[in-house]
Amino acid sequence: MNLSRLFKYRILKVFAPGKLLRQKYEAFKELLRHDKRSLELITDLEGLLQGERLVDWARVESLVRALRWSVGRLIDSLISMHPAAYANLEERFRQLESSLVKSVTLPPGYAGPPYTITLAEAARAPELAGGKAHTLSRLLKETGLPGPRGLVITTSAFHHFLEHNDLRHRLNELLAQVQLDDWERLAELSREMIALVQNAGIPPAVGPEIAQRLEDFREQGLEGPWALRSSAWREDGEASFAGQYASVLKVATPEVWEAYKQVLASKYSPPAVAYRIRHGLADQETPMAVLLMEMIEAAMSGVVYTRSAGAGEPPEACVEVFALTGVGQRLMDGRSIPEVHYLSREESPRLLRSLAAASDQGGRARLAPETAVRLARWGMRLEELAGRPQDIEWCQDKQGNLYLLQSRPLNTGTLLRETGEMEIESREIANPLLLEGGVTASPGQGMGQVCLVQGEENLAKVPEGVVLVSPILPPAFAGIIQHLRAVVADCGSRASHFAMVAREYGLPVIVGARKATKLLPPGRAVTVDANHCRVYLGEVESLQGQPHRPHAAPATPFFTRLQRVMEFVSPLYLTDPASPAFAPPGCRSLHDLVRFVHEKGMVEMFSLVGRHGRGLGRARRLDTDLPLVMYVLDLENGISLEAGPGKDVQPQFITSGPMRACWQGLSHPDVYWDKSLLHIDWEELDRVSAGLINLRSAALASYAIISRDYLHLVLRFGYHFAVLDTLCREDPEANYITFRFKGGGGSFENRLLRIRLIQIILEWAGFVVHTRGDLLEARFQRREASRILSRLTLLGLLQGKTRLLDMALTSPEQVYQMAEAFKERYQEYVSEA
Amino acid sequence: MGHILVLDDIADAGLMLKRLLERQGHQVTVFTEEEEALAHIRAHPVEVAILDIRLKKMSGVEMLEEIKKISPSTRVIMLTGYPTLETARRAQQLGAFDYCIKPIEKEELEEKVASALKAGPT
Repeated sequence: MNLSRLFKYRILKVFAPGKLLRQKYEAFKELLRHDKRSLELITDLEGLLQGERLVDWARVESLVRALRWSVGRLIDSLISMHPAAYANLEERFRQLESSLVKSVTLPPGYAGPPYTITLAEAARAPELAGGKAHTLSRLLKETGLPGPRGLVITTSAFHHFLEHNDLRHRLNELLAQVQLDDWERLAELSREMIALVQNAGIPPAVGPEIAQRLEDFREQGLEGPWALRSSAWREDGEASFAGQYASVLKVATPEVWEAYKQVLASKYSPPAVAYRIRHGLADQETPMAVLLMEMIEAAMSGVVYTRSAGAGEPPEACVEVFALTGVGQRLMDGRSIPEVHYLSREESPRLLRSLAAASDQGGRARLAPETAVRLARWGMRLEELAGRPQDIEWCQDKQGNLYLLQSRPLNTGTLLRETGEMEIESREIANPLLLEGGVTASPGQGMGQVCLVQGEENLAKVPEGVVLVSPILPPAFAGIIQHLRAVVADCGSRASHFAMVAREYGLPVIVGARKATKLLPPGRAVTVDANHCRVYLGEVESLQGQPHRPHAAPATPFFTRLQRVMEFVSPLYLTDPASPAFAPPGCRSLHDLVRFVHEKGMVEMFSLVGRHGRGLGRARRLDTDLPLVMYVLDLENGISLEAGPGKDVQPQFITSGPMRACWQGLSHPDVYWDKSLLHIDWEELDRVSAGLINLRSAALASYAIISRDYLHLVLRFGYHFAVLDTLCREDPEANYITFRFKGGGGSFENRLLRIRLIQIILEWAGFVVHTRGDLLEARFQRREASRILSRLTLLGLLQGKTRLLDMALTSPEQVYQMAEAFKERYQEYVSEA
Repeated sequence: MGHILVLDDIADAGLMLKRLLERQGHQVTVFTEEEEALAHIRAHPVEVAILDIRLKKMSGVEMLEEIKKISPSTRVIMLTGYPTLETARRAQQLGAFDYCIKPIEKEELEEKVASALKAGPT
């Protein structure tokens, strides 16, 4: 806790309560802004876990950084609304943040020496040598087959190269923007990343070491040219990366350094980046070693597949040898059609058939049959050694010597499934379509009886196996999620707390369906197709076969890691503000913190001004014919400039939307105001003055604190008071009305009758209402602005009309009749046309 | 429509902003070098500057300070992928118009730039 902030708060509270009030309101606006942003970021991360699109890990890091920032600011806003009130909130945030950072941060790669090793040493140092060099070294050693001489520039040299040139954060910044569905953009980003690598310098610890190795080769009579090939860690592993990275051939000694950077840069070519992302590997996890080998002047070169279906042969029955004259690059690039030889899979393979290369005019195969047989024998041996089918690169020099260049597992298996929304075949569905529209908050199909609720009230009574239909989508639904087959809500969005929970559980949810509560008949069986935002009457059999299962995340390192990260981000455990666990120590994810802070922010606004109206010094009296004393304090754009200066302000100059709406109700012609009574706080008057003080004192009056889209209204009529706090903006998710009503001059029983009347009417209007004795609390939230405004007018009306009812109401029957009459007369404020 | 300067150590990030903002009808000049950007501001009126927090030689905050010395009326929007309270406060003290966190949506950035232009000289 910042002590100076607390001190300042206390000083202000005593000496400048008006300023404090403004600050509180400003902080609340900040809070709402960060709340929205935090939920958006959580939704984005959720989307990644659902496999909505594939991105680089750098994007996850960047989203998590932004989320930590937003939640930090969110908490800060709440604390500046009421310093010292949320003692352990920041501490809890730091704890969760530190777990989150641990789970999202990749270990830095080892960047120390050795920066070069011999090809022979590579067999014992897989992590330094990378996949290709390690495999080749091991195979040459174990089979004694001939291979070119060479050395390996290690993976740690790559890490050191990035570190030395301070490239990691720049690469990550670009990688964070990669979207696999925008290739044009990927190409641009890739160009920039390649330029970063190519313009960087070889570190002083690496360059001379390579030079020394080349000098050693020269002494052995080996002067180049060289072939430089990529050997990334994990290359040739589960993901083959075949052909994704560059090889640079015929490199003279002075050009080795440029060629080295060229191979490193190929890590950032569009296909290599896309391939890596598809396999869920992070850039740091695939550091690039480079294999520097003597360049064999190849007369022929090619590839052996140890198992092949051949043409018209049974699957996996043959060894297939591909060959081209010259170097093999064109074959790997798929730029030419080679000659092909099929051989039997036997200890002494027999040549079954040969097809000449497309380029060969004579229609004659160039590879000697005995060479093909020899290659097939190599293949059988390498397959036996590796224990799985192999894809082998070879070449033959002009003297007829064969060389093994590379061997890696042959990809016979399944390709990584493309994630994305599963499309359902469009079928003829005969069932009547009850509803179409809205937004898929969580995909899938579900069937069940319609159970209509008004929000979070009476959720305990929701039976099992229902389709829940509600005007809103409160987080409390999470508490009964196991009972639900689908949810359809008039309001809500994909960023609603519950929408995220639903996606976790794989529960189909349609939001923004507008008229679902009107159109879906309670008790009837319906089928919800959330993918297409349709609801059918009855059971649709063709959709029955497609129960939604949670999107099983592909088991790539990306998803495994992201799942761990999301444990600290998305689950929502805090669903009930009334529970004792609704406190900072009960927050187990950032989502919980966001929920907690938002709830408390609303509570803080509700208690905006103390009972004695401190802070209202600069308020202006509302100039009205109605016999009530009301002061208005404008925080921001709530009063038109045309009102001019002065102590009074006329209602027509009020520009605050919620205030206008509420005033429209209070000043409705139906409301009868007894001009002989001044409507102020009589109880307070009795207590402080025995009638001696000014009847227009602000301490007794009603007041409104307003801005263009905000209203905090305290009504003091007779012996009761009502507090209303409301926000009404374009974004329905932020909107709410909270309302509290208490007291009265009549007997306790009579007051309860009035509370009952208000309760009936507010519930009819869609509010969630709680009562305790003569205290009534009601909330209406996450609705569009137009609905908020109509409810405010209704509340104004209700306040005006029930003002003195605690004296007049005598029986429950009377309450019922009045409620019915009210509903009938003011239907227009509740109908959602 | 206004004169906008973009400074980012990564040329491509700057070019992306340029393309985005030019579509809105603004005139955009992109720099990767701090000195060149400052020279440009000395020679031309710039209404809005968008600065990456991590630059080549200076920090974005130092750059903000320099720009405010040369051209106090320029509204500066800070853009960062590594937000800290310290840089945010410092930027605010030095008169930054806004402090934005990457990743930032296209629409949000367009809005921020529009409101910076609308705000007029600060």
